[in-house]
Parts: sequence; structure tokens; C-alpha cells
Amino acid sequence: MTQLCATQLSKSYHNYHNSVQAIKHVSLSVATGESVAIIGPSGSGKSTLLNLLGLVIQPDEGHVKLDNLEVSNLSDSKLCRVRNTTFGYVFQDFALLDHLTVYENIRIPLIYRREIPRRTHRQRIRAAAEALGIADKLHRHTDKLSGGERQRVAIARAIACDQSILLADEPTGSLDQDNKDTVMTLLMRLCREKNKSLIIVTHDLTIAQQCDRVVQLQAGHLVAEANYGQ
Amino acid sequence: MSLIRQVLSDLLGELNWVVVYGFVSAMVMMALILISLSYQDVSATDKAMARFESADITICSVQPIPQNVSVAQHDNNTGNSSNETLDQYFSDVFVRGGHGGTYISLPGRLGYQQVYILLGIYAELTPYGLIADTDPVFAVSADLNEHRSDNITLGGDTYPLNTAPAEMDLYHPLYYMGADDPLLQQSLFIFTYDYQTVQRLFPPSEYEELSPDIMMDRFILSGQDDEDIIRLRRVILEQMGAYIGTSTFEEQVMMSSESGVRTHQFYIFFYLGSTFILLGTMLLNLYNILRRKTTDYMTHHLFGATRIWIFGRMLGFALIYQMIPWMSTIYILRINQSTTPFMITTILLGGLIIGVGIVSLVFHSIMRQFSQGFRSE
Repeated sequence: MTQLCATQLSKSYHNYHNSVQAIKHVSLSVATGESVAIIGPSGSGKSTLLNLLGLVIQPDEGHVKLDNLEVSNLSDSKLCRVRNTTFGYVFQDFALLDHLTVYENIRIPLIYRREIPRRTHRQRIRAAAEALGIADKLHRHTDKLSGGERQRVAIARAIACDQSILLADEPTGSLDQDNKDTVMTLLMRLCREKNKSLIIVTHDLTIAQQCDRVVQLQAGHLVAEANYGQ
Repeated sequence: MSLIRQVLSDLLGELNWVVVYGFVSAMVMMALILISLSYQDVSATDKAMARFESADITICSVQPIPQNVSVAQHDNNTGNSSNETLDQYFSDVFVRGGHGGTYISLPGRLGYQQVYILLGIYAELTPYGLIADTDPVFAVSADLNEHRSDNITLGGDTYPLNTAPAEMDLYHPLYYMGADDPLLQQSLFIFTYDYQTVQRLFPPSEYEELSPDIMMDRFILSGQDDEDIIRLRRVILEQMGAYIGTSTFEEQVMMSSESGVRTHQFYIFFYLGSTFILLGTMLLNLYNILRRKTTDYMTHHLFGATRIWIFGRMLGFALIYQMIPWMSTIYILRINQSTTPFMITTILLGGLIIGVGIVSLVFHSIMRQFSQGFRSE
């Protein structure tokens, strides 16, 4: 079943001197539980596409639908709600708040999820941490952790609210080879065991080929697509 | 509840700056209040000094005859003998268009605490600014305003009573009385250019206080030349056996505490300038603290905090951050008995406007940054 459907997305960035069209009429669908890798050279629009799919930024043209519901032009409060309930974000630089502990970082999306009672937060956080193998580090500040551990905290935060779609922008870009393998294994396992969709931006073809499908961007256009799924 | 927790957590993280900002702002407010009170004093004296400066006044003072001056130089200073009487001299200098001026006080006369006679050019050197066709002019002090429409009979003539302005003061480099001086209350001021008028209104036989010594006590000249000064010295030497020393108003200011007034003004402007710079720096610090939290706010917004929530969190921080200076300012105003509803409203409104302004600036910047998306290297 198609969970996320983007149709004819276009996005430009403007500054005082010129205008750059980062994404040009890109259409992409992601099914429930499917993993999709977006590859392409620097400046091809990969991160922009990921931000559009994750409802972080609004397209100039085109639509994004989630479970067949139009979501690309919602009000701020509704967009925040959709982001909170549906999407988990993982970034190359981890985007953690280092003045907070692991526990407090993972808790961030739970703060804004009204349906999940506060008294269940501890249990959920612990469960997410255990799934990522960092349960013994919950009360440490994230700046005291290694790169691989920090990325696992970011992934735990991305699944704390049981979000159904993970968006990862170069999640292994700052890690050594061992940690790269560990993080990718965790992501793919979550995808398959928890039936979560995964959209990952990467330069690394070996990572891309672990996904069910790979799409290639060039100068803002979707130029190629390949299936690697079973 | 979570929003309040977040605001308190933000404040706890910046507790040192909250305290510093609170005390610095309180000190600034205290300094502003004290400067304001001090400036009111300095301002009045400065205006009086400006009137003397613009009239190019020369201060005359009775001095012992200089011992170290040669006979020839002494003759040059005082000129040849003339046997001119003081009455003749005063009649000549104390007229409309004359060069001389003085003021005399008569305590307890005519039913007033003090009667001040401002004679010659001195009649123009007060806040009353007398340049009138009517001479003499009678004015009661502002606290006796209810007598304004009364008349006074003196020297056989009846004169209407005016009211001196509330800021009426009496300035002489050595004898300044400010507007709130008790000696200027319950008083009558008589402005006249003419010495003969004074003689007629206050016959010497009845007013022994109007002696030459008293007339010379606050004697000044304006627009005189060297011959005028020589003549003055000669008359005083022959009639009073005393020597008249002269100094320009600028020289007198340099010698007396009035120079402290001018210096005080410099310190006031310096203090005010540094006060505003310090307060501006602290407000800039608030701006920088909010900017430093950009990643916090953006991450929370990404994971579900609405724009309103983020703005509320920032505004809550900014307003509580200013709570200590507000409370300190109101407390300082209270102990200075200046807590009017207007002052309190101004302080609270001012703080709110500043808080909202700074928060809006940073909030707009953060949302613009968020709209560019998150991206990895």
C-alpha cells in the first residue's frame, strides 16, 4: 500500500542575487515498510527532496500525500502534528541537544504527542534505547558519547513516538566503517521488523544497495530508478 | 505545563546572566533616577549662568587696597580725583541703558519675609526677564499667587502686583538661591532700572539697610569699557576707602564652584551615555542568548512544537529574564516615593515592548532558517 506519495514537486531557493531551482517536477512514492535510497552528486537536490517529503519545507509546486491525504499545504499546527506522529528524522550531524541527556533527547517528540500519557514516557524511552543498545547511557549527556552512540540516540528519538516513516540524511556520513555498518544494520532491522518506511539520502552506493529501491537525482531531476528489493 | 518547564529550564541554563542582568539594570535605573534629580539642580543653575554669559557680565567685588601695586599703576587703575559722590555715581549707572546692576534684600519689610530690589541690569537677569516699559514692576513670589490682582502703595504711588514665575531664582556667582530656596518664598520682588526710583520708594532715612556697602555687595557691570572701571574704582576709593576688583564672568566661573557645575554636566552626559551603552549591551546579550538556542528551538519545532509554542517559550524566557530589573526598578522608585501608576505602567510596558521586539527578531530569523530545511554536509 502506498504510504507516502509525492507528485510533481518543485522547489526553488531565492536570495538577493539569484534564484536556484533545487527540485524540478519530481514524483516519488514510498510504500509502507519500503526502504528507498536517494543518491546523486552534491547539489543535485537530495536533501531538499528529503525535506519536502518530511514536510519540513513547503513545495512551490506539486503535492505530498500521506495515506492518500493531502498534507503539503496544511497549517503550521497541523504540519507539526503530522511531523510528530509520522516522521522520524536522522541527520549526519545527529542534531542532538548536547546540554541534555540521552533520556531528554529521546523524549523530545514525546513532549508534543498528546495521546501518549506522560507516565508512559519512561517506558517508551527505555524501550527505544534498548532497541538501539544504549539503555545503559540514558542519563549521560550526549556530548559525552561516541559518534556511533550519538547516531543511535538520534535513531531512538526518531522512533520514540512509533513514527512510521524514517527520514535519514547521510546518517553514516560522520562515522567510521564499523559504526556505519552498525547504524545501517539497525536502520534496516527497524525497517523490516517494525514495518517502518525508510527514505535515506546517501553518497554511498553500498548503503544504497541495501535498500529496496534506489532513485538517482541529477540537477534537481529524478533521472534513474532501480529496484534491489526482494 | 511542559511549556513552563521548558521556560524554567531555559532560565536555569542562563541563571548567571539573569542575575547579572538584573543587578546591572537595577543599578542603571538607580543611576538614572539620581542623575535626573541632580540634573534638575544643575539645569537651573546652568540657565542662570547662561543669562550672565550672554549679558557679558563683569563681577565687581570690594577688596583691600593692593599693597604691591605701584603708585603709578594705582593712579592708572583709579584715575584722577573727581570727588564724585556715590549718589551721583549710582544715579548715572543705575538707569535704563546704564552699565550697572545689583540686587538688595530687605528682610521682613512691607509684610513680606524678604523684599528683593533688582536694580539696573540685574532687573533683566532673572527668569522674570524684565524688559518692560513700565518701571518699576512689582511681583510676588509664586506661592503668593492669590495676591496677584492686589495693589501695593509705596512712595505715594500705587502699583499693581504681578506674580514671579515658579522657577524664579536669584543668581550671583557667590550667592545662588534656587527656585525652591525658602528665602525666596513669601517674598516681594521689585524690578527697576532706576536708582532714583529706589530712593523715592525706600527713603534712606527709613531704610538704613540700603547702604553703599549693601549696594556694592552684588554689584555687576555689563558692556562697560576701561574708563567705566577706572571711574568706578575712583569713586569707591574716594567715598568708601576701598578698592574694587573686577573679573569677567568666565574668570569668576573658573575660580568658583560654578566650574564644578559645568564639570558636573560633563559627568552627567558621560554617565548617561555609558548607562545607555551598558543597558544596550545587556539587551544585546538577551538577543544573543536567544540566538544561541536556535538549534533547540528548531529541533523542537521539527519534532512537533508549533510556532506559537516556540514563540511562547522564547517570550516567557525574555519576560522572566527581565523580571529582576522590573522588580528592582519599581522598588527603587518606591523608596524614592516615585511609584506613580504612570511610572509603573511605563516600566512594565517598556519591558514588554523590548521583550516582544527582541523575541520577534530572533523568532523571525529562526523560522526563516527552518524554512531553508535541514541538510547535512
